[in-house]
Amino acid sequence: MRWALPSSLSRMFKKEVIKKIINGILVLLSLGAFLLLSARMANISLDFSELYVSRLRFIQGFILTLQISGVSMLVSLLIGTLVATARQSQNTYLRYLAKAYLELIRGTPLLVQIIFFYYVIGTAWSLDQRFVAGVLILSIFEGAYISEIIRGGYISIESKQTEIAKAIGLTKPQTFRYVILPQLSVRVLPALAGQFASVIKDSSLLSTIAVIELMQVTKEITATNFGIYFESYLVLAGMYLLLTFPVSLFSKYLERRLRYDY
Amino acid sequence: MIIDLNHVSKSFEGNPVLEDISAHLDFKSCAILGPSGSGKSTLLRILGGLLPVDDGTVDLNGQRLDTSEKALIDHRRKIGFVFQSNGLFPHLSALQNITLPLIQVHGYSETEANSLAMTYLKRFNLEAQAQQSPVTLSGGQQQRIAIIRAVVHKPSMILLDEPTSALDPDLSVEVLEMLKELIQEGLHVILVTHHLGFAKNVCEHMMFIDDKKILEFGYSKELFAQPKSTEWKQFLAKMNEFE
Repeated sequence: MRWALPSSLSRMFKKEVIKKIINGILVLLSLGAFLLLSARMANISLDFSELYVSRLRFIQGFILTLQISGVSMLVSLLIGTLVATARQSQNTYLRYLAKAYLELIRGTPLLVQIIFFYYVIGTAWSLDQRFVAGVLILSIFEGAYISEIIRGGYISIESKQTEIAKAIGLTKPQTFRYVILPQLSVRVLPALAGQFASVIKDSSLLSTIAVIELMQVTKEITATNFGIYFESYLVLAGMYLLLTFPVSLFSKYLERRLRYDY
Repeated sequence: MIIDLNHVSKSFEGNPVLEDISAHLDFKSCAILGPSGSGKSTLLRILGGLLPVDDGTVDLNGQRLDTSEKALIDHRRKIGFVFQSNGLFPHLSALQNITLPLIQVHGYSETEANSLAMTYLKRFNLEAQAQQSPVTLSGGQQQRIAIIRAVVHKPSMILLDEPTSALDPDLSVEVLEMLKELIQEGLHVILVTHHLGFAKNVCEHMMFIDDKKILEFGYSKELFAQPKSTEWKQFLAKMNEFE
């Protein structure tokens, strides 16, 4: 059987889509115009042709940023889960340790943490590989925020659910696997995706300890050729967007797929 | 079902809820009545293995209810429990709510579990709701699904904690009708309720709890016809005023 929308309904949908596309283009055009106007008013002429010479370095930086962010997301998720569990623990020492970690990490700037960890702790424990150090520092920082996201999601699942699970004879691990985890993942995903976008952006601060990621590449390129300063940073911004936008799209997709009505 | 309670006590944060209860209870279906805060739900949770006693012992059909976690899990698997409201998991469909314990706890294959669950859903006219999320169902439908989940593995008895108190009268009726049918088929039931009519006409036995103790236990018809304790008389008079 052929399935088709009634023609009036299909016209309505088409109208909606066209409206969305037109408005999307309008937003992009107006933002672009504002940027160009600002550049002109500040007497900056944008010429991207000279950047072509540095394309390989940009690509290398892009790949390193991608690697650092990817690994850091996994490690920070692990740290966040462990800390969130420690926060709920019966053991007072573990609970206090988690709290102290959270206060320290969330109460100080990432830049300060990078310098302190790398030059003090890194030197003391002879952690001289910049990639490993960078991933660790970034994961420890983001892990604090992720643990709070996970804990918030966990608390929002009523204790009633655990009692029902108990009543139907599930063991504790089964309760976690079949009751808590599916609900927790749906509740924390949007916030988690936001945090993952932060991981990507915050990785730019690792340029401070000379990890040759995107930001550091741009710094180096513009240091020797000031003529392409703004062009380089515009390309840099575009490359970060290229990384964060899919994360945001993916989160929306998962949200739609995993959604159930509360 | 024979339940022996020996000097059972339970308190929460120093506040006693059940005090030194001893009783020999022999019944097929038993309604628990009593004023709010009298300890009805606490007693039901102890019998359901959801709460351990502080003192005393509980024997079910001559078997001691051990308080170790393993023994409690075993006990919970042999019975069924229905909560007052919101007793279903919101992330699963109605059907999955029923099949989850069948598959994970009672060892059924997915196909067996599905077909068994569907038999019950058809029998109680809930076939059309099988794939729906619990939040899209009426309170009465949710409770009937919860009852199916509690009986589908053929437990030795099911315990229900005020299963209709959160429902509108018309929805209460559909839940009570279903229970009546199951009780008449021989299902052993303990039910905390405030429906006097149901306690009297459907449950063979009843128990009255007040002030942390079991004050009455016996055949429903007799206890309603000839109330003994003053507390039960007063409770009945108060309830009858609004029936």
